[in-house]
Amino acid sequence: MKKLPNYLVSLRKYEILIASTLVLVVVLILASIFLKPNYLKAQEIYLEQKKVSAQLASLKKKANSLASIDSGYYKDNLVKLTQVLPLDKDFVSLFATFDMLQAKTGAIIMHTEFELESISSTSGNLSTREIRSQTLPMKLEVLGDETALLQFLDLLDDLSGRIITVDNTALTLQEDGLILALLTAQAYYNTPTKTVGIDSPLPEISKSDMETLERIASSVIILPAEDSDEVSVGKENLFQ
Amino acid sequence: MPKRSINLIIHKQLDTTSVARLKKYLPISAAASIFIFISLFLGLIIYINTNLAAFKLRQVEATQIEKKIEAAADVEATYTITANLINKLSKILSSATNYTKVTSEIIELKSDDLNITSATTDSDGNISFSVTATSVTVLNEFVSTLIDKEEIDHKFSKIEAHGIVRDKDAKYILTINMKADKTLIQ
Repeated sequence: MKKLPNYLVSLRKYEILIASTLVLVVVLILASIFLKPNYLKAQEIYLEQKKVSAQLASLKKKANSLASIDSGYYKDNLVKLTQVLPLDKDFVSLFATFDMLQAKTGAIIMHTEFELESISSTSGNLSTREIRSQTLPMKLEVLGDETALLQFLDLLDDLSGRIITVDNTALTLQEDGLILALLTAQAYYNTPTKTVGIDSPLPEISKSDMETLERIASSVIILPAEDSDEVSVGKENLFQ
Repeated sequence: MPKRSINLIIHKQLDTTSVARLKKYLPISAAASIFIFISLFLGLIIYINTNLAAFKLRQVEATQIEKKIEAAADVEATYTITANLINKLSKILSSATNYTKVTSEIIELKSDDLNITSATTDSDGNISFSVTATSVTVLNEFVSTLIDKEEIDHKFSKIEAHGIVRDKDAKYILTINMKADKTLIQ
């Protein structure tokens, strides 16, 4: 009887081990070829789905909020609101407020001095200081009797015109009984600086803010637009 | 002839303990790995197909709502600007100082015999003013009034008087620094 070679004997002896190992290796190869890409795709779908679900929820909330907004109310009051806090420096409404204060109180604004940071250049308008502060520092010299002056101080931030806050006051009581007040004050404006994404939530208006808006709605009188027809113009042809 | 016996059974070579264990568990592991692979593969295929459809549906829904929001862009802009303005306005109002009460209090201090020539106030409630009195008695009465305002009415505090000067008209000039109560500068 012929004796089998040693390697065949060993092969027969360990055939189960070899076959099992081969199966494991093949499974590992198959896993790296078929399972890994599918797992990565499933993971991507899961993350994207999560993202889209959150976006969808915020979009639905925003759409519902927008549907419930009384656009007419906000449109009307925005015009009044921008007379109190305009989107730019708007000196017209500021001087209109001064005129209104003088008419209401009887006090006279003797002198107005503005601290201007920039006037017309584009680079000047984009100065970071201006964007940060969005205030118009000024000095007002107001002359009037006690009642007029106190009323003047009271009306500065009563939201019937441009909001003006006073940093400090210096009073000089004159011999004729009138008081000359030097007010270091600030007027404000609010330039929108950031744009929001379509899925960003709407800002909330608190109850107290709504009360302020109601106050403005009832106290601000919309300034009439300047009638350009009344402005006199020169000759159409200068050589005639 | 004596009877001889020959052992034809090949002597069995026993496996070592580790090889025996491997022979026992490796086939089980191989079978399990095949089962796990097939299960995971099928599971992933089912998950991808199911969720991809749902994901696409949500994307379509999101796009539709986005279009709806875009259509209401004017309303959104009006509301957002209003909200931002009113929010800033509230901040300005909450930090604003109203000088009406404190100014009124300062002006009320004057009388026929005592004149307040100048007064300064700031948002921290610091007041500085100069008075001109016709006599020392009037000045004393004025100081008593101020003390009452501090101790009884609690309207002012930290009252400090700085040097009395008698001018050529025999009038007495006094400079006073004090702090107004918070209720007067709100």
